[in-house]
Amino acid sequence: MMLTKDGVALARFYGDQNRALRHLLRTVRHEMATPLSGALLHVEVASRRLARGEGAEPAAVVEGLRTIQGELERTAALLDFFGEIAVGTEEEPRDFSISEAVSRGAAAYTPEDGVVVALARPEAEIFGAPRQLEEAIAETTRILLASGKAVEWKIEALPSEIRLLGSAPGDLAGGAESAFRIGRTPEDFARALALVRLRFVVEGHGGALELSRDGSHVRLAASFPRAGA
Amino acid sequence: MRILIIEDDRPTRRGLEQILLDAEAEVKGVGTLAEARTAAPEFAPDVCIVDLSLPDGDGMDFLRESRAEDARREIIVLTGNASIDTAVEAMKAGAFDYLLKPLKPAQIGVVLDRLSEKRDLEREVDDLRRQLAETGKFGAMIGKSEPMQQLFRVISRVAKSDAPVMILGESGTGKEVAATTIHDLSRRRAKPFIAINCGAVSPNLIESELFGHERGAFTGADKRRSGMFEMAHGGTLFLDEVTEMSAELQVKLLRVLETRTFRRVGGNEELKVDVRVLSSSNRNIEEAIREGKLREDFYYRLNVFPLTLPPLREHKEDVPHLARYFLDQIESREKTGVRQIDDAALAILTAHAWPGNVRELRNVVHRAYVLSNPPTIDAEALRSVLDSGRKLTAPSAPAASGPGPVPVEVGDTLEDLEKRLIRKTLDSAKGSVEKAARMMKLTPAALKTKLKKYRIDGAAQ
Repeated sequence: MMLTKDGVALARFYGDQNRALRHLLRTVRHEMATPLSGALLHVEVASRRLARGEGAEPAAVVEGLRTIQGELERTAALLDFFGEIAVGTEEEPRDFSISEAVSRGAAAYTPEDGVVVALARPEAEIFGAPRQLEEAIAETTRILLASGKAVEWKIEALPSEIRLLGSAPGDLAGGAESAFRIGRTPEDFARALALVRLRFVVEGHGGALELSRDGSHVRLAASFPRAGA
Repeated sequence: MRILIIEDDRPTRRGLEQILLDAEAEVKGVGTLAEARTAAPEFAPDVCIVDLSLPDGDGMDFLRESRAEDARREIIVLTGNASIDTAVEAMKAGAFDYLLKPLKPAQIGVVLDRLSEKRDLEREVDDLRRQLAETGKFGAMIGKSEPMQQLFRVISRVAKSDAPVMILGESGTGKEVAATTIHDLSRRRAKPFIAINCGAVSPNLIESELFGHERGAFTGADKRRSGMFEMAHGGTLFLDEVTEMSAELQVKLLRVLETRTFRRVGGNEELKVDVRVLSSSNRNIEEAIREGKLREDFYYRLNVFPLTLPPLREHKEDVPHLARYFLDQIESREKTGVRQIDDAALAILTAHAWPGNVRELRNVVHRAYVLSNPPTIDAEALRSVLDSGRKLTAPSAPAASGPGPVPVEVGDTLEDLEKRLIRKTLDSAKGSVEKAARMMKLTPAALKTKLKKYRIDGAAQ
């Protein structure tokens, strides 16, 4: 590993990871605010109902408590998600092949399942945490496959950067940024978490992730700086 | 109050609905901008609470649309993003306030209270405007003339803010009444209005009057005493004749205005206060600064919003309204049956110069009330009051009898002047009509006609 000799690549990687983690924490905090609002408001409503003596007819109070429970579970899921990603940053960084990491991430699926991975030629390496990328690809593939029935990953090695392109049938109602918003249905929730995780991994490796719509397909484009670039 | 909630998160929306229903609001909740655009015209909300991130667009768009449609509709924005930029942008676009998620019920209560206070104030100002159009009364102030109407418009605007106001104007123009009106129209109106005349309090005592003192702070301070700043907490403090304050005290007050904290005399504890400061002066401010009577930095701190009250001679058309208003007030207290002022008396009042402004007018009406037979104040009673007033208010003038100048003031009528001149000349001539006529280069017959016209006694028979 060339650049770690003087610590430059390592310092840059930890700097990128730190920035991405801060961005992720802001996202999680932002997303937690809504369920916490719901919980706090329903605690207040339940407390007022009981104060007014409506506890004798408890259906409304129980319904309120269930809402509070649901909102707190949602908040807890977001915290778990953040914790899991934060733990993942402890992985020892190294040079690794994106093609290999993406292949391992998509290894649970075959072309018969609708998943195709087109590898880069010649081999393209970046410096960072391969397991992070592998897990993000596995999660994103699973989510995209669940909604679109087909996922294609393509890795392109350019002179200065490596591109990871994903494509799956689907829509981006509400715009690209809204795809990263943690929705209320289990599907929206899971999809947003997968995309937020992938964005964290890309940004944590000094790259950027863009989402766009192309006809009937959603396209993901991530760019990574090459190792040693 | 009708409130439309636009929030896509159902538990948050439902929770807000319940809390607002408890506050006796009429509430409707929708989850998208499209639903809000459909619901708003029919529901006609007074207030919209809108989430900035909605599935079909940005709450800021709704804020702008809604303000353009109905400027009186208040918008409160909800945002999960604790970015001050978002909040500032919303406030710039006309939002009444913003609520950061996670929402706290107490926070919602505070915003609703402020909103309700603002709406009450607006209603009150509307009522005052109506009253003004009908009767010329604006709170405790009176005036249908253009200068006063303009002043009322400025006061109704400035009352809504917390900005310090410096009220300038000649003595007797009603600076304290203007300060009271500002307080009464502000969000602070349920809290105290405390006024201090800085020129009337001994320089040794004023610091203790303003800031209070601790026990033993000075000889005679046998117990702790709160000062006017503490007493005015939450309300308004009016510093009348502020230029009469010592430069040293001005420095101390400047610090209080900047930090909103102070210490009692002899105390170490920093006390925090929320007080709006209004001030006044009848001095020429530039002169006062030049002469070192008013510190420039202190002046700029007090004079965030200057308000100049016109002298009465510049809005004489208000004199009849004011005179009738004072008469009603006096009669309601003293009940002697004097209830009206005849037209000739009103003409005399309107013609007078009023160097002592509204205060002088009030005093003149009161003296004429005392001298008049019910039910009317007539011209004679007024002449008598104004004449005696001149004697009292002109210390440099010689005694009524004997030679000497006749005081003349801007706005005096020629008739008044002639009457005084004849009296004075007759006094000088020791009652001799012939001699007085010679002095005035008139024929004795012409002077006699004037004596009769003006009902002047004192001619020697």
